[in-house]
Amino acid sequence: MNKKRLEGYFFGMLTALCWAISPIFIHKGLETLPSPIWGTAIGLMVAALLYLFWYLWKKKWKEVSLPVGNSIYWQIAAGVAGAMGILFRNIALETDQVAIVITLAQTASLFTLILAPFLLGNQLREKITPKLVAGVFFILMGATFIVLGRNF
Amino acid sequence: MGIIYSIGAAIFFSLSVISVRRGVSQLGIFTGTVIMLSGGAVFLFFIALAYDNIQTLMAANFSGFFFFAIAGVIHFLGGWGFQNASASRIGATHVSAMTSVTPLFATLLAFLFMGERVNAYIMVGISLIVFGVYLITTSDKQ
Repeated sequence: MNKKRLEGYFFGMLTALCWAISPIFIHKGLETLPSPIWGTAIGLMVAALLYLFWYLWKKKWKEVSLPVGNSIYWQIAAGVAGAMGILFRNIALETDQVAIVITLAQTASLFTLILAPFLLGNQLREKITPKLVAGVFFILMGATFIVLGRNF
Repeated sequence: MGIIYSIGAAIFFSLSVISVRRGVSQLGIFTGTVIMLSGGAVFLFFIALAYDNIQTLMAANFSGFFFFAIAGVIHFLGGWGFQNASASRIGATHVSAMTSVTPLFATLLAFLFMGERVNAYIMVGISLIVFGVYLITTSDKQ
């Protein structure tokens, strides 16, 4: 495996680690601010402001190679879809068991396998191999067992 | 209704990572992340205004803001930043699969810092995830 792909998998793992740590602080925050939506909005605004200051300070916009085409709209869509996902998950958590909600939310990787070939376009189309599909299946099964093991 | 919202959340998370793949390929990770964070923050602020009572926010004390701010920095600045860096290197399908291991890390943290017990279900789950990660990381060799 080349260095670029190795870094990609490592960053993917770090993403999962960040998403495993953040609920600890959300749980503490909900003790005095009992609104997951406002809490998430505050967290996202703080993160956006901190990153924006750093981005402007380091003049990172200079690294963009023009033309950017529709990429800006895709990134805005990514932020809106990510925020919608969190909103839907929080609404679900208000009415259903944590184990069910978390397990179903993990099926995002299945939907990505289904939707990616249609939405990525010809240039970025990714190869969906039987091994990749099997890997997603095993991870989802594993995540389901862990969620069940922690909740029952 | 909770099940429908949960599946809806999964679809939106999926659409988000696919959009990231299309966006960061030209914008780069840093510019892509700043646009994603800003767009999401503005959108979620108006959703919060529409969905929840602003009095709840006004009644909160400093510690509530502080803990949500920390959570936001870890989840969005860290999580979305790493997701964008990962998507630009291995693609949307692979990064989406890798982030599904979140329950594994949550369990490890609970075991290490909260003394949570590991039962047979969790052991089976960990084994399946490790095998799944192996399959995904070696899938591009075909």
